Amino acid sequence: MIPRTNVYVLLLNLSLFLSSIAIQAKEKNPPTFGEFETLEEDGGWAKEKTNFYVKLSAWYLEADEHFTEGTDTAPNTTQSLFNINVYGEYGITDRWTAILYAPFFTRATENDRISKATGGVLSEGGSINTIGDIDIAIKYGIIQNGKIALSAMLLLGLPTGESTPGGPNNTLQTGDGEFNQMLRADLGIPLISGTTNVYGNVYAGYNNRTNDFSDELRLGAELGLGILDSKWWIIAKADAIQSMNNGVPAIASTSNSIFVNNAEVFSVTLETAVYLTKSIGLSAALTNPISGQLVYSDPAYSAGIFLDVK
Amino acid sequence: MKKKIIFGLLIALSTVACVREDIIDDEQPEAVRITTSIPSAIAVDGTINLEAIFINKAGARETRPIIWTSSEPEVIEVTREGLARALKAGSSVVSAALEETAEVLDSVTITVVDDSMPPPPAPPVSQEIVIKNGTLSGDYDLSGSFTIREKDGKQRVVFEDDFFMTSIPAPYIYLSNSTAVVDDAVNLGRINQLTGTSSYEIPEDVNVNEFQFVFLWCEAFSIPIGSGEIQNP
Repeated sequence: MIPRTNVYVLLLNLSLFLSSIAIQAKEKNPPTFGEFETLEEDGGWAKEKTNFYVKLSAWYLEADEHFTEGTDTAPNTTQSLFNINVYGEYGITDRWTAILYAPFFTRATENDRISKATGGVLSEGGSINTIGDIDIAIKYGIIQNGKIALSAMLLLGLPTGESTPGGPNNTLQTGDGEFNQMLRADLGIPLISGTTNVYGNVYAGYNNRTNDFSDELRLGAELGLGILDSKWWIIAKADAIQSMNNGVPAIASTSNSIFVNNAEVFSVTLETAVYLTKSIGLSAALTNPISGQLVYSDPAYSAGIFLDVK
Repeated sequence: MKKKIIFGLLIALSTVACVREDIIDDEQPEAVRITTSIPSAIAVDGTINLEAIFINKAGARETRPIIWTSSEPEVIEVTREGLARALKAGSSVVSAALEETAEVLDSVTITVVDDSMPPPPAPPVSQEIVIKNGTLSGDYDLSGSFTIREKDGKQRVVFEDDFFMTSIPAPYIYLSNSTAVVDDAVNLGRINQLTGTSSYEIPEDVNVNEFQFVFLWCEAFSIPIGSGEIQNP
């Protein structure tokens, strides 16, 4: 008889496989990094009325090191986070775009710790599987013309993940238990248009957080290159999260896990997306943190299949 | 071909998000700790039943035969089992060694006074005294000194004024014989400030002599922050 947990893992991996045999597209994709996953929106561009974009993707991070401060790192017991998520954008009008990010399956794991001296088990690892933190957002296109695309967005991060540390060592969470309210402005500029397209986008956001978590300043920039009549996109991004340090310090945080307060990170992402048909495509991304504070220092991977209806 | 690609992807993805094993380098020198609290002096004909524990290379207690010797047997005689008897005034270093190697791993100095000598002054009952001390260091930015103090039969670990630790989530303080794991350690509680003086009570049923280190542990990342060897002042 196959143990139930093995069946579960098999189904999980099958889902990941299915989600990886197709994927995303559009002009740009999301800054994702561990617990700092954020909505992957089209930057300054708003969706036109009734147009929509939906992507099913898998995201994975496994870390045996974390940043203590700056580029200094320290080892940690290997932990991983994995999720399967749906991301969608819908053009309510030519100006208003509704956005949803729903990690409907999130798995957090921690490895067993084995003594080098004795070979015995020092502590057993484990896993938890829950829904993750859901984001909903509304974006308004302030300026939408051929030269610039300026938009403003209100994002609400719902604490739907498991914020009580669980697992055998009370170290596993799939959410931070706080309610994010982020205001963000995006400015997109098409740089080259034609069979080859190049765009740039920058954003700045302020994330107000509850439950004594510090607010965050979020900044980012990206450069996208579309070739083969924009059937193939290559995108480079840089994202930064800066804590405002106005909540409880990490030492006093009630959190017992990596979802700790005052974490900071500067990361770069390389992403590619390919349209297989006019509206269906695949995408994959690698996000590598360069520096940070109290945050994993290992890279994260994502892959997905998308439907882009214009 | 498609089947092979799909099969290959399934094999690769089966390694995602699984619980595997981390090998923890927890090897450290073996040690013997004399656990008996030694009075400042004993009278001629007085006895002390000495006890010691063996700490293996994984930082765990292990039962091993221990033998005892005295540097001045005419002052203190001690049986191989650890019963020490004061014979005349003076002082002697009493050592504990592993029977199988005879290697001395811990020792104490015992002072003997006769009836004609005034007894050493005992501290007032209500006065707090420092019974141990040490210096902290670690992988994280951690520095400063600590003391273990006793007053009215209660003991506590005190981080002194020069204590500093970088911000880290869920830091805990332990009494431990390992600087890698907390499995056999005594948890004294969550560290509540990053700089300066703070103190952590030691439970009354805990014998501080049974531990080699004050050990700081980050529960969020399941890693050591640092430690300091517990020394006699």
